Amino acid sequence: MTPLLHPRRSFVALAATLIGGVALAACGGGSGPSVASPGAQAGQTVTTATTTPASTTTSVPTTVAPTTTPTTAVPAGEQLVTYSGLQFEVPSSWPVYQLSSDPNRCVRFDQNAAYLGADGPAPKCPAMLVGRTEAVQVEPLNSQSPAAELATTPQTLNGLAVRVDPNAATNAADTVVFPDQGLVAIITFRSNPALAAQILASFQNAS
Amino acid sequence: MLRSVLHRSVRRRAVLGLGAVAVVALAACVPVTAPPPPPPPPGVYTGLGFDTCSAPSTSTMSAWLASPYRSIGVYIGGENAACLGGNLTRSWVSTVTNAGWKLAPLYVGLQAPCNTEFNTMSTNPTTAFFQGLGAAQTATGEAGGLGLGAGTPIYLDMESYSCGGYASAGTQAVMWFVDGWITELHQLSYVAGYYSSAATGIADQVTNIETGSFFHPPDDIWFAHWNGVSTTTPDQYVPNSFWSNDQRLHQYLGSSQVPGYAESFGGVSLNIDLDYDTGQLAG
Repeated sequence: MTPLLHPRRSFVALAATLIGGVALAACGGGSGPSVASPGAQAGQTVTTATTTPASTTTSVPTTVAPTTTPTTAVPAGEQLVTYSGLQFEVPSSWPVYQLSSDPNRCVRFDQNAAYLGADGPAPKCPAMLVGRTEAVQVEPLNSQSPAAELATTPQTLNGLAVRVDPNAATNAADTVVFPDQGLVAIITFRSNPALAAQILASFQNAS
Repeated sequence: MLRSVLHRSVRRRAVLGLGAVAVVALAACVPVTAPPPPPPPPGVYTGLGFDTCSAPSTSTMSAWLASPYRSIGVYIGGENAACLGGNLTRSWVSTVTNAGWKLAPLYVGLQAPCNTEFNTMSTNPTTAFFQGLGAAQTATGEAGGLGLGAGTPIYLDMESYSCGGYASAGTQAVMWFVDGWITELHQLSYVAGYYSSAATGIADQVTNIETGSFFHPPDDIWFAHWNGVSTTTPDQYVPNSFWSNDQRLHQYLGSSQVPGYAESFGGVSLNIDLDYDTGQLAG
């Protein structure tokens, strides 16, 4: 038999339920509509500065979304890449890989390329690749990743709050965390650090 | 004291209780950030292993428990790492090591001055020494972030080079760089590992010992000698008496020797290099 609650205790229990419910609802833990986290539905478009649609160039995989009209002037020889609310520019000769639809793709920083999204579960990489060149990966931020550990210095980039790796020069990579977007960008370099810096400087909110 | 105060007022206790409920409820909002359990302590592993460029997912690692391998080489960073970790995180390390995997952490720092296709070290001995020292600091920082603390071996990946013989400026720069690596890893209480070609980087370490030179030798060596022989001793490039106390890993099959070499376990295929280990590993 369930004992009857003392009136004061029943008040406490009710209040506790209400407080708990309000507290949970305040953080999105209730039954209300949820908000997708950044990167959860990462869309990506590529816009080239040439008159040739990106979807017909050999350097751009057919998995990318259709070309859209650029709202930002893209310098000649560059292509505009949009991912999860951010946009940036890379050379138009670079392939752009959407990893969510290409999960076996090897993310390798020894070849010029842009990778969007997180690595797949079993990427088809040669076993022991070594070497660096200019390349970029933008992916959802995992606070436990080595990249996140490196990017510790707060900065502002084109109005975006970011954290950057203070030792980028010696690590041969610009590692940038975008905490508000829940993203991290890794831009590696070897012989052309200026190109990496140029790519980094192009990051901004997608227009 | 606290108990007597609470007894004074049931109402106050009720208020306290409500506060506690609110705190607990709010705490439930906070993303789960509790650190994963630490990996088992590092130690000697004897057996087969493999290397991949990019850390496979934990589910792939679970599937590969069906393999004869129990160690995996993982790149934790460095200026010449072509694969930057993949699925590698602190929780990945915790999950796979507690599932029974041993890890060979690899750091791909600056390479020999004559290997100009890479980011290269200085030929100035002092500069090279401090570059090696700095590599150790970065590597231990990244290892620590992955939950791999003091006592963990970290293997410096020095790709094969041919800079003109042991006395050449290029080879001496490598020796100084590796000496800086070892010196700083010891200062930070890590185990100084060294991966290289048996015929070049490892052979130069052998020469260093045989000639009584002053460079610190690595604690453990990981030699690439793709002879298909899954043992660590003997090897034609390493005297039996050197690194003889469970201090060797042998990469006996390389993917560049057999392009596209892959194996499949649990329905998951991976391109791998093959190792036989009798040396220090993490986890």
